[in-house]
Amino acid sequence: MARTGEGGKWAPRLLIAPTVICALALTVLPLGYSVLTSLREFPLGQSPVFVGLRNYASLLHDANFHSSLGTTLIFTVVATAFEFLLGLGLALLLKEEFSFQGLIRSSLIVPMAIAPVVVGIIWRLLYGADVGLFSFAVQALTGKSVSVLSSTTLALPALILVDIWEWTPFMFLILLAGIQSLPQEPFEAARVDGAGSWNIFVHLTVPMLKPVIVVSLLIRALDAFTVFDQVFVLTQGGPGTTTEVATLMIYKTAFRFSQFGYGAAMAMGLLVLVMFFSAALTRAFKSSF
Amino acid sequence: MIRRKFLQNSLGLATAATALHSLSGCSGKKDASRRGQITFGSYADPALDLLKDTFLPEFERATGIHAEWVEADFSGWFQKALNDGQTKTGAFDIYVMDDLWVPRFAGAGYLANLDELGFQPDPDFVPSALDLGFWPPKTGLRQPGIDAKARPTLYSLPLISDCQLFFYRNDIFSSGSPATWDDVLKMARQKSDPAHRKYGWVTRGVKGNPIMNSFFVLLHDFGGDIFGENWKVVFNSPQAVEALEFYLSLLQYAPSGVAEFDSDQEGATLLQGNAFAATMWTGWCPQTDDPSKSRVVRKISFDVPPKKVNRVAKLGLFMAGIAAAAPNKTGALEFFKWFSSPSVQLRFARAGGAAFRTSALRDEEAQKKARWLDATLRALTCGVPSPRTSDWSKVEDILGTQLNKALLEKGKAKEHLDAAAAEATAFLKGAGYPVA
Amino acid sequence: MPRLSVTQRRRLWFFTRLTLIVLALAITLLPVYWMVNTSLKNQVEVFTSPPTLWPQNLTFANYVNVFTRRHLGTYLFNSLVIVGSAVLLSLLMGSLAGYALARFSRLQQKLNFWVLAPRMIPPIALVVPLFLMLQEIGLINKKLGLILVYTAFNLPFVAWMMRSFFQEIPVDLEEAAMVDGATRLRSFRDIVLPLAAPGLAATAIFSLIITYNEFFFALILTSTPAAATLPVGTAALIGKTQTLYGEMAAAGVVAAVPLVIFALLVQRHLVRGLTMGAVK
Repeated sequence: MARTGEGGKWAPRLLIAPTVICALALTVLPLGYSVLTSLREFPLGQSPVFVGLRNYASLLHDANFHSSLGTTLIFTVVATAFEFLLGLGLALLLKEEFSFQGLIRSSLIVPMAIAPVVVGIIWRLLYGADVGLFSFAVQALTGKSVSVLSSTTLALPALILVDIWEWTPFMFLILLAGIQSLPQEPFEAARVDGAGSWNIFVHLTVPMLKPVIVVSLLIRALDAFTVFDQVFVLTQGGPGTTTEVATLMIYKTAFRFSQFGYGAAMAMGLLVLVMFFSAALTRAFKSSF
Repeated sequence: MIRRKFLQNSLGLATAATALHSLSGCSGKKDASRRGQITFGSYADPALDLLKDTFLPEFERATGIHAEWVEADFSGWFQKALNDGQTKTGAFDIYVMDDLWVPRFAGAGYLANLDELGFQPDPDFVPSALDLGFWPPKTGLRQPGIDAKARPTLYSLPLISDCQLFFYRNDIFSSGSPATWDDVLKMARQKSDPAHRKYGWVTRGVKGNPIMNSFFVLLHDFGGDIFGENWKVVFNSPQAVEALEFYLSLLQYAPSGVAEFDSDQEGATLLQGNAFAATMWTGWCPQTDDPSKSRVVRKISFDVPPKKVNRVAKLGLFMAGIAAAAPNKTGALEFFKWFSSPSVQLRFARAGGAAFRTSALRDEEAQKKARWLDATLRALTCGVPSPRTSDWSKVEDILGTQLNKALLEKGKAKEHLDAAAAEATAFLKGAGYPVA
Repeated sequence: MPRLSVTQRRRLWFFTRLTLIVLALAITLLPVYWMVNTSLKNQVEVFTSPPTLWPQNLTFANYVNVFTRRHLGTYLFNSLVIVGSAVLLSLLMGSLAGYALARFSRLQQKLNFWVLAPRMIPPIALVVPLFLMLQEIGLINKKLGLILVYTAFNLPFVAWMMRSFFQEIPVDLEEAAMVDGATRLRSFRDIVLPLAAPGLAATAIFSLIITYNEFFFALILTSTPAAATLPVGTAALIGKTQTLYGEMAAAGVVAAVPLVIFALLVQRHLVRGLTMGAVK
């Protein structure tokens, strides 16, 4: 699919240059600064002290941080998987023309458009014991009074549900656009050859959508790894430590406890996890299909 | 192509509009260096409304200095203020702070020295409120790294005397405020009816700061404390365990979702008329008599929390300090002098504000208008603040997590307190504290 | 199960589809309805149990307060200007870059990491260097400063997303056009762009929403309502001891309106482009 330059190598370079510069500037500089910060400590009222790799050594023994990485990983994988499947389903459902399609499509992406902090507040209200519509409905249906956000088993699923509600529209949007961008002939040819809908889907649609699928999964997963607003508003990491995600821990360490160096080291730790995950995801998609 | 043209036109418009606005938006900084303006940076809270809406305009009329108020959410403002202090940007003249922040801000040098600027407090300031503005602290332990002999310097002043009061239903506690915690438990046992949403008690159970603040008063009332001699961790002492067990026993009369309750939910339960007792911040007091916010107008009364062995209240004052890099220190100082003057404080109290002068809080007319001022003054007098160290947030988080776990399990008080003590001691040792 | 006739199957599919769509809409819109519902209630009703499905004491006080006391009008204006400019700029430059990447792809693999990396690093790590950089050039608390930052953030992302959409379009189409005498630019404009329209629409919507709701950089890189955006203003409704739920809901509604309008206008491009038959 690639074509190297035909008589104008400078033109594409010129077009790509600003993008590359921005990408580098926004990566190398802050990364460098973060690494530098993670190698220091900041005692109160004195200038920063260089401590080498001490923060990283402490990180290796920090059980709380490890468990927060685990919680983040579970959150990311479950949320992204559901969002992908539901988004794909919706995209397939809505790719044909039908009445009110503009209105329906726009309505379906509204959750994504609401400010994340407001989403958190509204769901806090919906989930609240006594005052929440959700709790009230559950009580009316099953007779049991439930307080989802104070349950050690239900709090994380409840948070994941909020994320799914909020971000499935993103998957829907991208996958729909991807499907609509596909050229028609392969599909017409396949139908002429008598292939069934399922076969067309598995052997034609999905492979052709691969670039878009990878992009959407990566972006969503990256954003899920750095989820913050909902957790902060809904549970603050509780009950206990069941919803203590890594970003919350980093935030508390760096800002509430003013341990900037240690917090930066934690951020690097999270970054390593994220890099492994995205590399694994990209490789998995390259090998299958 | 039409789309391209549209994009180009919009881009042109947008750039032009932006250029215009960028140009018009840059006059702010220049004004500040003249006498004309001071910029407040603050977190949002209804308790500040009276100051913002009524008293800042009055200040401008009285002195000609315009007060610009910039607000963000609590954690957002903390980060912004830290950033401003660290980078010495000087975007703000006055920082509004939680009293918890004073050790960090003063210790790191982000605040201007009020002694040097010439501010002179007088004895009419409620002592416990004023003391919170000194660094190093006047009384009590000093965190490592602070010179034990350094003279306490005034870095910040009280702004709003926020503290935790005991809110109770005067139609249920008909013979007046309960004298002891056992009375509270007894009334809860007698009159609670959880099935019909009548709760004898409501509290904040969210881990960390919320549950810590709820538990703090009981801890001290039962004779316990956070730190003992030389920063030894003592919140797992027998008295502390007893306090936690009592706290847990009250929970059977509280709403089942208490583990996820923060201030909002606690206040809502009380104001909806579903609970008859709670310890809450004074910022909620004016709301109890507002029909658009409360179903129990005039049915809530206020007092200092009841007694067990001791009788204390928790202090959580809003403090104000002048930024070290403030562009208009003179103007900011003038605000402090004006707002803390006896006449203005008196008017503030009479308008229902939580003043910090004893004379203002004692004023009869003020007390008639705002029935909680008397309790506020008494609470300030026997009030205890959070430990004065910049490392308190971490210890609070450790203890607050374990308290939350104890709440979820509705028991195992000793185990959780011991676990918290162990973790906190390890942390403090690593941070250089001389713990035993 | 007896074999259904073609019309019966079609009808079954239609009704299944209808039910699923209605279900999706209901689940999607219920919390949105709750937000609107809450925005019209006063504080005592917001926390009533059992919760009221529509306001018993309808009040517009939240909306009034949010505009008169919380500067939401200013924040809204700032957001529209800042975000609109940044997204326009990044879409323009990013699409061209994405096309170049798709067709002249030696950088392809390496770019993946660099483009995604800014999203991998928690914003906290990025903010102080950015603050210092902007302070050097005097763009703290200026709309232009945020516009630059947001453009810089969106650019790699738009390029990357558009590249994948451009990759879906077979090169032969352009080659056929160019064999017929069109320049690369014309074939880009007349053939590739229409086919990539759905991708561009989706990227535009997504880019706009993400930038519009961005909180952290707006918080630290601005200090007064002169340049601050909606997310900062909305978050300020979370007080130290109390959150104003009604006003927050009102702010959420006001903030979402421009985005929904934009989505309504742009979503008509989320349809199949011109068929290839015309070219062949």
